[in-house]
Amino acid sequence: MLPAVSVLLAMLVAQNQQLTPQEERGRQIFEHGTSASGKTIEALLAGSTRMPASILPCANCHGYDGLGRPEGGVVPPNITWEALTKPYGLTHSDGRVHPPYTERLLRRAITMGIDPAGESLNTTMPRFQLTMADATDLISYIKKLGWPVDPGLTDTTVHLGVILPPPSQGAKTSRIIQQALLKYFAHVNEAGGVFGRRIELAFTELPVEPTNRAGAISDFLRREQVFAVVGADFTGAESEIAAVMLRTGTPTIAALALLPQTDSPLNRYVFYLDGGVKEEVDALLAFAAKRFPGQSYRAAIISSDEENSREAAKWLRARLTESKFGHLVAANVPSSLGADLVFWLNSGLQSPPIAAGRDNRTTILIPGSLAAEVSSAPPNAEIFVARCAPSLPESAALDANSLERISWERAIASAEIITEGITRAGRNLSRAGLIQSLESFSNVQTSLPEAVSFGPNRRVGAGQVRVMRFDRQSQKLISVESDAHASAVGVH
Amino acid sequence: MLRILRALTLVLVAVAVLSTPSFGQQRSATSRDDLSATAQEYFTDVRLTTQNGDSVRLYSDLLKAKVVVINAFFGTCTGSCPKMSGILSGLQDRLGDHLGKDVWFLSFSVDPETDTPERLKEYADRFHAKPGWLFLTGKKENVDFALFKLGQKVARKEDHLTLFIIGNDKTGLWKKVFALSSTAESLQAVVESVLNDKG
Repeated sequence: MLPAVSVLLAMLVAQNQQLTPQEERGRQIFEHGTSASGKTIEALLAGSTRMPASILPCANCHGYDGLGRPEGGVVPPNITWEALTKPYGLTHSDGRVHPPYTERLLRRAITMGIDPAGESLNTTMPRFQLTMADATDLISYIKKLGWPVDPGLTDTTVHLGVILPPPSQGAKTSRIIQQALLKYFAHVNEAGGVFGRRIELAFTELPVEPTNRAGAISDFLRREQVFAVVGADFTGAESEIAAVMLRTGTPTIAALALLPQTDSPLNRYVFYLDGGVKEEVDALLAFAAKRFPGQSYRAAIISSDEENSREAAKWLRARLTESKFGHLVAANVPSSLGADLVFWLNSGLQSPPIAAGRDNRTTILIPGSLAAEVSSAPPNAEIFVARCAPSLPESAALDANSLERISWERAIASAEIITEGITRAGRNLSRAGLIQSLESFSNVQTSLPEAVSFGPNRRVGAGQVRVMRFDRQSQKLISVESDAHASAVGVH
Repeated sequence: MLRILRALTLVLVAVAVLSTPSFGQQRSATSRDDLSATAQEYFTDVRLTTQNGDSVRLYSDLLKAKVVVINAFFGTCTGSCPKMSGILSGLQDRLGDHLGKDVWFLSFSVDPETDTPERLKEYADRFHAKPGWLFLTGKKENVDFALFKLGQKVARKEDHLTLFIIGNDKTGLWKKVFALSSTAESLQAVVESVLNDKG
């Protein structure tokens, strides 16, 4: 008997946490102002102005939880079904009083702006031109507002997913990230969890073949029903994995991502630790423009077919066409001709097939997140490495050990960020609440050197990029601020 | 905040007083020049950037001899700003060819660090902004200074005012409208009253 009851209870809980297709369509209207039918929903604003509802979806003012977010002197009411249908009616802050809503009356309020007492709603509430089907979908979702609809969440647990690097990159990195997260969350759980909820982890490894990665992550999310993803490796399929997170609405802290997907329209669900390889390339360019002023210099670009390397090279070539970098001439320099500066965009650094440029000197510029090891560089070259600040403190030795430390640091940072986010979101945790609380991060200290900030329009936590000189003798990176030949380069 | 508002009010009153012709209906060229000089001294020519990336001066390029509708907003605001922009969008349809010729809209970002010209361009496109509607950003200290001069500076971006300020630099008449209780139609009436002001 007892097992049967447990199964029944489990089913009920599962039911609470899954939206029906109709409610899912309603959620799309509520949060995004778009219809699953593909037709534009129009909103009539301030009596006469027609706008697409996507500019003013319900969640904008009423909040993702429906409780209402006062802003600019407007107090949008609580529109959870429980509040709308109180049997004794509603009294609003402006003194308006009316009987409880029914489905029909709510449809009339949304589409025509008339409350159950027959009075007009405030003009700040747009009138949404919904079809009958869209209105039914939307109301079915409004009835679910305030219910625990997100997966991976119970009163006592939060189930988080972790995406580890593929086995091809060596089991060591994978193990380090796994150990870092297990250790961190063991501490959190020992201290009582977050609002009494224990953090549980489910691990998966990226497949070796990049083209299989997005599919594997999709399967993982379906199988594990995680609330959010932490310590995620996006490498090799960055845009595809980010798209999976968007489609499934999974908040994600990407610990390893060289190409953050921050183009418009913004993917609200994925938060990156730093700006990745493109920001490092930008910092190197600014550095090179200062270090090689005035004359014409030959800039060689060494890249491979690997996605990160290829994307970095594409970005660099585009930036080099800008007039402020006009004196740095991009060229595929044959080894016999020589180059004054070399942008090294390969992972790993073997002796580059480049003869030195003028004065028999070559400067090698490396985006640090691409090549972690530079100790085997040719002797006649000066080496500068740009590194997003969280990855590497000053005077760090740049060797295999530092690579391990970077992985550890990034895993811990992503864990700290999500724990702080879940804590700030409060007892009534939801995915929307987590995203809102992450967006409120302003200079939050993690174990990384630079504080992390996010915002409604910002998904890159740490913006600072530092250019450092590689000192051969000590095998360490020295900040160029202390270098007489160059000044520090800051981006953002 | 009060002090700022008072400062703005004083100047607006001063500008209005200066603009009032002492005798008869014709205002002399000198008094108009004086008025313009006073306004320029107050507003200054602090540099701002439009959504198109153009560098503009606050008084000489944006306000001088123009009728303007001014509001403060930020691009990532989801509550009142889209409504204000929506009302302006409705108003631009009603104004037709007058926009960019007789009337200009100036939307000042209170979050210039996030609202880059590219992001503002995108925002402007969302509201089908026509050429006479400028979205202004720039160096934070410059934008803050401009907002201060307009009585719109706030410590937190979320605290921005929901006002439309309608001004006629030629006559020195300025009016304020509470944005969220207005409609494109009601705002048009106020704009026309300012536009038709004879000083």
